[in-house]
Amino acid sequence: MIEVEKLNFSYGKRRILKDVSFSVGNGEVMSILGPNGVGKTTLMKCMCNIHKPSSGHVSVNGKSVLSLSGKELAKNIAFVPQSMPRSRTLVYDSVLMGRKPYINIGVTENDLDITSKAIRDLNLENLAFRYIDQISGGEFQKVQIARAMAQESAVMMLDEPTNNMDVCNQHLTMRIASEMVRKTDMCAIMTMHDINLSLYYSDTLMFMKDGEIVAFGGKDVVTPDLIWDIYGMEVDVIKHRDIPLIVPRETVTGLAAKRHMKTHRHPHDAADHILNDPEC
Amino acid sequence: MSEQETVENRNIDDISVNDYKNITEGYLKKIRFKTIFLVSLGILCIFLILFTLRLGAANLTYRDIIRTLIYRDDPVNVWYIFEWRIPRIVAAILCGAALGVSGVVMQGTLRNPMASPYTLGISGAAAFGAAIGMMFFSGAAMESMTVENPYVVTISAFLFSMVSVLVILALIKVIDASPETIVLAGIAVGAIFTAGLSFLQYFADEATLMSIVFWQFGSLSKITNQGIIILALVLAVCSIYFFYKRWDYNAMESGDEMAKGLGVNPDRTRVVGLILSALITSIAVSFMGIIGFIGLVAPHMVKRIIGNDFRYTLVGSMLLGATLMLLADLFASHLFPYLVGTTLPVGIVTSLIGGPVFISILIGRRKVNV
Repeated sequence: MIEVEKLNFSYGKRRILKDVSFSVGNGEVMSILGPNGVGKTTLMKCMCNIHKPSSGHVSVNGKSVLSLSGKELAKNIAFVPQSMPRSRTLVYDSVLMGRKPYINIGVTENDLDITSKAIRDLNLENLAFRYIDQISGGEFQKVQIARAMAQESAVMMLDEPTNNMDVCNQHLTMRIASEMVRKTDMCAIMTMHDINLSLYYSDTLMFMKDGEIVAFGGKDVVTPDLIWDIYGMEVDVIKHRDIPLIVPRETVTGLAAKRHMKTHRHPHDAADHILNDPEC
Repeated sequence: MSEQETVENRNIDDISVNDYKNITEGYLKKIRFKTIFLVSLGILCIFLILFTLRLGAANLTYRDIIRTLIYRDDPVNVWYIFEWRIPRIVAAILCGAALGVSGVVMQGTLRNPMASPYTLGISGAAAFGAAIGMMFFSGAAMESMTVENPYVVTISAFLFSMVSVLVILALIKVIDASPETIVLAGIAVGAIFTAGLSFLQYFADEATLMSIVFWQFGSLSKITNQGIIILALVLAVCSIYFFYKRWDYNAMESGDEMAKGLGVNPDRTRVVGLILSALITSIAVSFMGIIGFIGLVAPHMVKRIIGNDFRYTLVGSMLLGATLMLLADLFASHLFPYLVGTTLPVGIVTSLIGGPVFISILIGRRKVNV
């Protein structure tokens, strides 16, 4: 279980995180959601001391972790960054790296067993002896999750784990991650952009805006009002197989027009803009 | 059973020991291959040492050599082997190992395949320092192409190469440069020193100019016995440190954030790694002049063959660096004189061969990536 208490972080004079407090229980998956730049990634980095928080406490299973050495902290929290350079390293060695906090002189048989198990559990056997600069984005992400599993920490933090993945790989990665978390009774925190994907696989959702928590709770926390408040987008919340999902209320072009209307006074201009805007 | 069925039938809870033991077995095989590669490099190195030991003007047989090594009975042979051949071979091995290990540490900590003593401007700064020593501290000899006071030149070269390292480190601090861009800073610093060197050369008298130019041709015959001892000691200490930090370097291959997440302090590891590898390089370059491409090519070749794992690439780059230097020396001081009649400074050979070898590595790399 991880508990975060009144975490604050400033970059220069700008306050990025404002008194953030929450907790995630063992075997739970929590998603942190919110628009770009609200402090989701910063929050994660503060929780594992990559950024030094200006104040606040983080404890894992009752033990305060921010004062621990890097090595000891790594035994409690495994962090998977959003993007990583890829080198000519074997997939196996990359997963074995999760054992780094435990390795003193050399790799033990136990380290190899744990690494091999993590590779087996994530179905990476066929890739184990390929180099990580030769595998696909989805496979690479699975390697990172395997590495975090091999780290055997109580908390796993994934920063946008489904970035740059096709829809199938997104679901596959999320399913594997959430299954592993429940099986091993660790807890997982992920920053996400896809609300529906989070609704499918997480137990708790946390919405952030301007460095503060706006909403925190189970799946029912997602309401049209909340989405309007955070993203400025009109949605309906529908139920599919008992899982709430959000659906945009208007077509994308209509929404885009609305957004552009805010900046362009004349609707005519806005329409031109949309036609020329590749994102619309 | 088809592959699809195997995957479908797998249940995460159903832990069969053989399942993952096979993966461990596969990994141990890979490890064995890496070890065999290192041992083969070692054997090749020993073979080259024995081969080079016998070559040269005095026609010595292996029996003569072994007898001289054990009994030291023939003073001429003793002088020839202990004063001439062995120091040269040891210098080649140390220089190759020093450049190889600095290259691999620089490439790893800066995560830049182009990082090497040469591209970071350390060699250029050493050449500038040597020129300063020759021009202003009476390091150059009256007769051309020799150095009258080698220690002044060596110390000056060393000091200036450390200056270049300090400038790079200061730039990292001031502009908060990402490791990938530090090489750019190195190239800029190197360019400044090269310009300074040209400036000095322009104003140098003829004898000094010849000494400066000759110094830049890296050569194994320049280093003194004391130089060999200093280089060996520093190399040994730094290599032990690098090997101790092998897991930290491995972690840094996945980026600074990942490294921090695994309990490594990437900034400190990078700065210490850079200072120590620059120290080794500057000692080697100060004693022997500029020997290009070994620091760039040896790590690349090793990584191509056994992949990126500092547990093996550190030793591999040292062994391959030494092997390449022995080969280059074999060519420069035995094969080339045999063909043309005059010896070549080994630095010219390494640069001549190193360039094309590096290009072929790049082409090979492209093919793999496709």
